[in-house]
Amino acid sequence: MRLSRILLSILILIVSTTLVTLPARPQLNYLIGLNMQVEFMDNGVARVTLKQHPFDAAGRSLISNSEVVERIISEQDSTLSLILLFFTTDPSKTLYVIHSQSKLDPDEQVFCNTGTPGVMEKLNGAVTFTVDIFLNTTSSLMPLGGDVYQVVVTDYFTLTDPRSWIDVMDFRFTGRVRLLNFTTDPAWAKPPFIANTTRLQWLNTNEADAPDNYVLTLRIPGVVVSSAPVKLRAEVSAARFSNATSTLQVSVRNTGDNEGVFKVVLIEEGLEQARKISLKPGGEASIRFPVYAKEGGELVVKVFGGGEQLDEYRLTVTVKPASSQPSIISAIGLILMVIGVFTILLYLDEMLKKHPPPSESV
Amino acid sequence: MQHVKLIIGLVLTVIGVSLVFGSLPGKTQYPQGDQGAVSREARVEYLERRNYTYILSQSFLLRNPSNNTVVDLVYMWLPVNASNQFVRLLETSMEPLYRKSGEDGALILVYNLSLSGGEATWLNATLQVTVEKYRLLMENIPWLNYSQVEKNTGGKRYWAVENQTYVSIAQSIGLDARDPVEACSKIGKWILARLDYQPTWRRGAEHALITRGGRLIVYGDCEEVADVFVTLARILGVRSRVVHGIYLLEDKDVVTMWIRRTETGYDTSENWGGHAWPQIYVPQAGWVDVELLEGLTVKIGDFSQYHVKYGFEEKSFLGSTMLYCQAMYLETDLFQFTFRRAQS
Repeated sequence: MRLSRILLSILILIVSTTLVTLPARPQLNYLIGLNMQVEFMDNGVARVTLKQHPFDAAGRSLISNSEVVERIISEQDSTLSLILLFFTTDPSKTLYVIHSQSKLDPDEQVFCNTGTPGVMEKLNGAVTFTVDIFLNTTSSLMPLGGDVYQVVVTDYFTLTDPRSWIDVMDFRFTGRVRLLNFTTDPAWAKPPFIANTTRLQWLNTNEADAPDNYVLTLRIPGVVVSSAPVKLRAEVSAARFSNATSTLQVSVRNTGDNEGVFKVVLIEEGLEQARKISLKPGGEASIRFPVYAKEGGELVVKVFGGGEQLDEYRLTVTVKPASSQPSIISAIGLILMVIGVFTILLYLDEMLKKHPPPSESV
Repeated sequence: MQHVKLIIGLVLTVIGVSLVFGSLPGKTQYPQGDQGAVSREARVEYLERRNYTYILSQSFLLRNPSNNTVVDLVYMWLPVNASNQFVRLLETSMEPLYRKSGEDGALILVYNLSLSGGEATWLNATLQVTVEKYRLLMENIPWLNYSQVEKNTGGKRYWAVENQTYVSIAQSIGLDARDPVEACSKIGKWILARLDYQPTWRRGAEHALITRGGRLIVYGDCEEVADVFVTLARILGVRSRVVHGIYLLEDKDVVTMWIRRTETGYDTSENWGGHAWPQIYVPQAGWVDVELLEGLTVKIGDFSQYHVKYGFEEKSFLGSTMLYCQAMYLETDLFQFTFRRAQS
C-alpha cells in the first residue's frame, strides 16, 4: 500500500526547503492497494504484473473515480521505474518489454488492508500493468553455479518510505524454473501464506509484517549472463610528471568508435587513485593526479572502460637536477674574464713591441 | 699609462673569475627536492573542533481524521547518530513498538497508536543532540580508488551523472583539478556564480539547470544546489551525497520552529530551517560537509554548529524519504521543534 505521490511530494518539500512560504495546492489524497505477481520463466525472464486499487482514508474504493484512475494510468512510467527498482539498483541498465500497458480491468481483484488492523479486504477492479524483465540485466540476479541463481526482490516501497508496502507479493515458478529455497528479511517479517514448489505468496496486512527483501534460490535454465554491450578502446597518449608540483598529468585518447566513460587509475606503492573521464570517439583529455612516490618510485597508469582494462603505461619518478645553463651572473663573469684576459694580452703585446727581445748575432 | 691596461685587465679578470665560480653550486641542487616545497603526503588536520549540545524537543500533533477508531503505525525520524553528530534519546511520550533504520542510515522510531474518531494527541521525543563545529585543513588529498569510484559515483534519480550537459560542465570545471578537494571547490564556485536561489519543489539536477539569456543558471533552493553539486562531483569521480536536516537560523539559547497543516497546504514559522547540503567522502577524514549557502561562499570542511542532520541520501535510487513524523491513516497537523542550547 502506498500514499499517492502527490501527497508524498508535498511532504518531502516541507522537510527540505529553507525559508519557504508554501503555495497552497489542492490535495488529491488517496491510498493505493498494491498486489504484485512475479512469474519466473525460462531463460531468466520475470513477468511482473502490478495491480493497483485506489481507496480513501476511510477505506472506500475509488476505482470508480475516473480522475484518480486516469492519474494512476498516466503514471505508468513512474510505475515502471518502481517495478524495475524491485529488481535492480539502476533501471537505466535494465532490459524490459512492456507486455501490457496500464489499463483499468474491472474483473481483477486487489487484496489490501484498508485500515482495520489485521484484515485483508478484497477490492474489485484494478489498474493493471505487466512488464517482462530480463533478470540478467538486473542487479538482483547472482549466479551460484550451474543454472542455480539467487534472486533478491526488494520491496522498494517500504525501502523508500517506511509507511508503504506491497499488500500481496505472489511469486510463480513456471516452465523449467524450480524454487530451491527462500528467505526474507527483516527477521520479524511474517512467513508466506502459500508456500509450495510452484508458488510463494505473502499477504502483508501492515508494513511491519511485510518483508523488505525476498531472497529466492532458483534453478533457471537458459540464462545468458551478458557481457558489456559496448566495446570501448582508449590509450594513454601522454603522461608527464612534474616534480615541482608532484603531479602526474595523464592524457587519454578514445581510440574506439564509441563514446564512453573511462576510468583512469594511477597505481603507486601502497596507493591507488582513480578518475572518471568521458570521451567521444577520437576525443582526448588530460587529468591530473597528486603523486606521493619518491624518486625512483614506479607509477602505473591503467585505463579501464566497459568493464575491462584497455591500456597500461609505466613510468618512474625522476627528479631532474638544476638546469646546467649558465646563470646571468656567471655569464657576466665570463664576459668580464674574457675582456680582462684580452686587455692583459693587449698590454703584453704592446710591451713586446716596445721592448723587443735582443736578436742573436751571427 | 700602459700599466693602466694591465691593472684594468687584471681587475676584470679577477671579478669575472670570482663571478663565474661564485655562481656555481657547491653540490648538485634540485629545483624541488624531496624535502623541498612540495609535500608528498596527504594532509588532513582539524584547525578547529568544538561541540555544541542542544536539548531537542520534537513534538507532533497527530489526529484521526475519520469517524472510526484507527490503529496505526506512526513513524518518527530522529537526528542521526553519525557524521560528527552524537544523539541520545532522553525520553519519549510513548514506548515505541520498534526502531527502524532507513536504507541510508536514518533512525526511525515506530509507534503503535490508537485514536478514536476525531481524536488528537501529541507524540513527543526529547533528545540530546551534540553537533560539531569544525574547520578542516585538507591538502594534497588523493582521489578515491577504482572500486570506490565504480561503486559510489553513479547516478540516481536526482543526480543526472549521465546527462551530457552535466558531463561537459563537470569536465570543463574539474578535469584539470589536481585533487578532489580542489575539484569540489571549483564546483562550488561554479554553482554560486550561477545560482538563482528560489524555493521550489525538489526538481533534481536534471531540471535545476536552466538557460536564461544564453547563460546557464542553477535554479532552485538548497536541494537543487546539493543535487547539482553531487551530480558534478560524482561525474568527476568524487563520492558525494546529500544530507537532509535542520538549519538553525537564529543564534539563540532557545529556538522554536514549526510546520502546521492548513486547509490548503502547510504553513511554517518564519525561522523554519529545513535544509539540505552535500557531503564528500575523503577517506582520510570521513564524510566532510560542504556548505554553499551559508554566506554564499564555498565551505568545504568548514562547518557551523547550526546544522542538525536527520538523514543521508546516497544509495537509495529514488532518494530517501524523511518526513519527521508520519503515519498512514493519521494526519500530522503540527510539527514543532525546540532547540535549547545546553552547553558549548
